[in-house]
Amino acid sequence: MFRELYKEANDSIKGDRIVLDRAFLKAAQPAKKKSPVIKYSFIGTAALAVIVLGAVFLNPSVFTNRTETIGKPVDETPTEKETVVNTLLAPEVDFVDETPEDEVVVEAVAEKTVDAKVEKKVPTKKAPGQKSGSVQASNETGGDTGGDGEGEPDGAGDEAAVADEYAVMTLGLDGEDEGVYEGETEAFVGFTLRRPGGDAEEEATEEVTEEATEEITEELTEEVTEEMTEEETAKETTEAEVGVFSYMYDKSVYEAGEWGVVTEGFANTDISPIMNSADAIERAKNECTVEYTRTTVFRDNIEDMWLVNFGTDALGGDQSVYMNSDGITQLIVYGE
Amino acid sequence: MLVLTDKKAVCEKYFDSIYRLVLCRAKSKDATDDIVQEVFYKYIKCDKEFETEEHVKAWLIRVAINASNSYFTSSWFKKTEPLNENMTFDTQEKSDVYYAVMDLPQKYRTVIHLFYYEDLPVAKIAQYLGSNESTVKSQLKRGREMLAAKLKGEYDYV
Repeated sequence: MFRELYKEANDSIKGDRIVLDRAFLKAAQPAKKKSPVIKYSFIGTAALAVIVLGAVFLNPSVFTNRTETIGKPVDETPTEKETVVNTLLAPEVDFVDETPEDEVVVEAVAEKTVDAKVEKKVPTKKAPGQKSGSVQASNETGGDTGGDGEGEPDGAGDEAAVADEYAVMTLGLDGEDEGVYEGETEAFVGFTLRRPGGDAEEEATEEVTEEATEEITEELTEEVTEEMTEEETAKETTEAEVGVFSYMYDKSVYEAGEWGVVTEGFANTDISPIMNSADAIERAKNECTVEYTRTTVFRDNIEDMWLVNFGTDALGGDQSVYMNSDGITQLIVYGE
Repeated sequence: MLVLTDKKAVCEKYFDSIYRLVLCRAKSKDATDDIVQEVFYKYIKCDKEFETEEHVKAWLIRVAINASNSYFTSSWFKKTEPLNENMTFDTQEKSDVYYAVMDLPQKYRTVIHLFYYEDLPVAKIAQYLGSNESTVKSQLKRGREMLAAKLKGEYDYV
């Protein structure tokens, strides 16, 4: 009885024959030929690669210079200031200076409580054992300026070595017994030389430290800014990747018991709260039984549900895992 | 005797049968048209040589089931609400029976249709659906029970 009624009911259903005609029409159409442009498109890329490699082979500096231009410019040439600072910090090296006596002139000024300013040209002669490049000046008061003996300064006194051997330095003391230096060339502007017993290296180091501090501060600021920008970008990207879905709608579409719809026997049955999309993906992996190359996360804020789709760009199955915010799987839908 | 090399004749003969099977599974005329067109397109392009009419029919049923499975699980279909087609029958009894089957879940609809309309044995149904016989038997049994509940024992189901 049922069989006859069901057959009769079905027999009264007629399909539209135009469907069949469309199938024949589609089959009659010639297969689309692949464009030769696509087929030989690799030739352009290969030619470009050969040109680039040839250029690098013939002139490797092309890329080196380009890198330096794009990145942080590298200027290995020290400035005059750096030259002097390096000279001050240089280790002791014994050498014999054969410079004639009269060619190095030090003009020292000693002033303390007296207003009078005494200037005296002191011809110096460098001897073995003197520090290379160290700049020192005695601060004897009164007429004792210039060291002990004409042309024979002691080790802590009137010895002088500068980047420019013909530069003239003016050394002296201020009212507070602090060393004062007045340079006549740009190379020495901003440097204070110590008085005897002082520590030139300390002051020079301090000068360098200040510059280095500024540079380090700038670099740190740039790095922190870049990291913050990256973090913000990553956060925005993560948030953008989470789509929106309606669990109630999906639940109504996927009828329990239908092919590919699973409503029980899940792996995620214990509570493991999902705080973000990464948690959702990790949690959903426990339920994943298909091979996948991509995951997509959706969020239903109303129902407080997460949906993770495992899929592949190539042919293959996909799987949708629905979980609540406690990480408990509620529904799985398999697709293709 | 149907000449199997005449593909148009074969298509004409099995078109309605395949259409009804797909409509039973899809419950949507639009989806059915798309799936049926794909099935017969594959048949027309197929170079396979069939030995018997039964062989052709089995091939078409198998392709129709696979094509409809692919269609249902496509991301497009997942997000689309299937429409229940409003079909009219000449008697209320036919309408009751048909819509009672249509109200069943898809896996039960399919085995009921193949068993009662196509008169296929359980073994063949299992072969076409890619499942084992016991599964088909249990689905058939469960489908009958649900139909009995819907139709309130009004009809003889065997």
